[in-house]
Amino acid sequence: MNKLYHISVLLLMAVLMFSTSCLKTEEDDIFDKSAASRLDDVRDSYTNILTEKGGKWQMEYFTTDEEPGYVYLMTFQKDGSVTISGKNVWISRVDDVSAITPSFGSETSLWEVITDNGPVLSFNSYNRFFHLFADPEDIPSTDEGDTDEQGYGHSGDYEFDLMKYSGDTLYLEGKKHGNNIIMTRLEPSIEDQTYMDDVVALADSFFNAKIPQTFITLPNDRRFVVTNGASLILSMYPEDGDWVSQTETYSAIITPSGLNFMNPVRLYADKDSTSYYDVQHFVRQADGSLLCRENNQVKFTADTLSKIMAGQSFKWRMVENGYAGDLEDFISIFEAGLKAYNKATLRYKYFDISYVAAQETFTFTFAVRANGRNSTCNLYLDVERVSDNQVRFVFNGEGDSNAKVYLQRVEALQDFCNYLSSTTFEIRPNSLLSPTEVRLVSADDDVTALTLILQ
Amino acid sequence: MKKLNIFVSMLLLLAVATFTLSSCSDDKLGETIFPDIDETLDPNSMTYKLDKFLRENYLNVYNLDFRYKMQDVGTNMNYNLVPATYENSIDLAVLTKFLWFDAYKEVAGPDFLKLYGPRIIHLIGSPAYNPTSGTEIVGLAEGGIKVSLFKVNAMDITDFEMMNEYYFKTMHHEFAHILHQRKTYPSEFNLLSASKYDGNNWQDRQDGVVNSWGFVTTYASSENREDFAETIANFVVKTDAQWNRILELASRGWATPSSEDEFNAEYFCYYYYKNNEVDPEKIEYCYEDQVIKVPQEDGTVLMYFRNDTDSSGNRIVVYNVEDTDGIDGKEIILKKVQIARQWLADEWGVDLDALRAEVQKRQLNYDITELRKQVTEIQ
Repeated sequence: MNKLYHISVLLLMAVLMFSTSCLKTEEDDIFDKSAASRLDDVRDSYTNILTEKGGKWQMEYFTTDEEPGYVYLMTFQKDGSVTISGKNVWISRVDDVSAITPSFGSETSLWEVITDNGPVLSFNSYNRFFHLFADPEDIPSTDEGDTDEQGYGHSGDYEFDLMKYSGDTLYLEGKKHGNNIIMTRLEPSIEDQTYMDDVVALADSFFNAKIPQTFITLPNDRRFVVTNGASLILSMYPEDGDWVSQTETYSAIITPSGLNFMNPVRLYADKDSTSYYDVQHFVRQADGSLLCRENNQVKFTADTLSKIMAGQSFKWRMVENGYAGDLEDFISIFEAGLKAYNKATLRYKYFDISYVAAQETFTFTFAVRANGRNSTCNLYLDVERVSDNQVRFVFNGEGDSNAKVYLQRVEALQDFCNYLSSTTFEIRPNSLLSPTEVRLVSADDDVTALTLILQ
Repeated sequence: MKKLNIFVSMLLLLAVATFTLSSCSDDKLGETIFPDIDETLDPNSMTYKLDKFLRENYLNVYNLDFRYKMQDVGTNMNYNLVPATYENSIDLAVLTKFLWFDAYKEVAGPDFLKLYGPRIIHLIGSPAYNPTSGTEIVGLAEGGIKVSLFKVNAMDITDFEMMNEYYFKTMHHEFAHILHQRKTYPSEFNLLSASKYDGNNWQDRQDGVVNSWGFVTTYASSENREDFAETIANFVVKTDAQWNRILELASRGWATPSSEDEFNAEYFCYYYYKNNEVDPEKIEYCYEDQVIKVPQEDGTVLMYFRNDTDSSGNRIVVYNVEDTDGIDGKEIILKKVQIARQWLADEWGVDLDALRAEVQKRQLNYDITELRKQVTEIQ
């Protein structure tokens, strides 16, 4: 009987506990629609966002931190098709595995916003010029064929979680590999190939292998040396640190607005790592420098201009006839002096300035032709840094034997050297990040000038 | 006291009954929590024609979702995979119908695949690579309802061998899995090659050698279920010449000059004596394309080494390697086929030979341009 009693008590307790879930004390629904309906609404919303206003977008696409980012243009249509255009070397290699230069490619495939755990932008049919980054085939391809494949490829995504839409910018995250991807709306009138050609040309102008080092400068003037810029796998270490142990690499992409790192880069403001700046997006300025969007006092430039001019690894060549003001007069008089001395003429209307290690000095080189013979003349000089963006070319009266002859016999050459030695030139570069062409303008009259190109 | 306990217990039981009956008594089903899905195909969609073809030929007929738009969540996320191209999806959709569904419909009746066919076919553009084993997945049958076909982007419609190996065979292989996952095949099959299965190293084995052990392919030697599916699939899709070649290789003896373990060694079925000096120390092995075969009037065939003569200028005689493994590969393969034949007839009412004849007729005579019209000419 006790058993029956206990069972009855237990049954009553159980029923009381479970029945509470059915009591009519539930709160009213927080949402007016079911979760599935709300997810469908979000899907429809993103579908509209992608296709409205012409449906043209720029995607900043990243795979792994061992590869640079790639710009793609995408035009989404309401019929479920998307035209994807790009220009990079991997597109070239779709048809020619040995290609080393970027090619433009454009192909139409399918897209859809699907509802997974949230809205997902899926490029769900294969596009030769886009899905190549998600293909599992080895890079480079294996010699052994299928049996040696590792199955990673570039490890890029083709499905993206739609995280946020703000100000005509979509923020996405690769579904499998988790990379942050940004899409920016573009004008529908943009022509894909022209746009991509411009992007690649712009990227080529950002960094130049002839300027091997660039610098990110923090507000407190601490600098980080940046190398391998042209590869867009940037190596970076603090200038006051140890490049061997402190060098880190960062993947980046160049877009018409500037340079973006794949992920935020933490730069410490001091050696003790007590404070730092997280930087990721750099906006291109009119002077060619890059200014950090997260902190507009963080700059990305080449080295100080006068340092570059006085750098021993650089060779500069004057643009033919690229001089003005007093220099025009001095060079005319010099040419007349050459003619009067031995009917010599300047072979080229330009000069080279470079450092000659053997002589441990800079040289000012010009070429003459006299009596049917060509000869090269090297005058020795120092490149003196007057300020960060000013230099003087100080001739010391020395030179090789050819130059000495003309220096002694052609008075106008001496006058020319004296003029240069006494003139301070302000350096006006084509770009503060990649100063491969500089206009040297006399600080005295702002008219006298010569243009030099980095060789 | 006893009565009181009984009374209390009865009261409690009454209370339980009351709660049980009253709980949720006024619950009613509200509107569905799921949104209404518009099943109408959009004629303006880029994929309208293919979608309509798939609806009319797969969904409406077989209740089958033919997924050509790859869904990552429907795959093993450990692999890097890509979707199929739209163009190849069209080709595979019409070929799958022609070579698989219509073939079964012809042989087994219209309801067979409605009852037992997969409910999902999922196309995947790339293979799934297994780097540790150096293998790739080209097909999967999951839970008896889903078949995944991989490597769709590598399809070359003009390469019959390739199409047969990667797609047609895969279809029948995976369907064989679906069938035996519903009704198991006789365990007698598993005993025929029980000692030779190796799930880890099958990919290192050599075709001719596994044929001589009684397997139709190296993959068949991985485990008994794969052996069963491979036996059916290869029997169905291999041409007469290809099938007879398997049986011929299965009848051969194989040997290796290598002292390495069997997985890395290269095996040969022809050998000769160097300089025609019959001495076990002078044995050299050669490939088939190095052998000249000269049929004799008495029906025998003399074989010579193509690349050399002996010191007297005579042709070097080539011999078949003696079959010493104690296994009659051909007999075992035919036994396996017979078990599959009987099982298909008894359990499924399907005539394997008729199915093979139907598939052979179709795969050797299809016109892809005509088949594509089923999609492209949809209005």
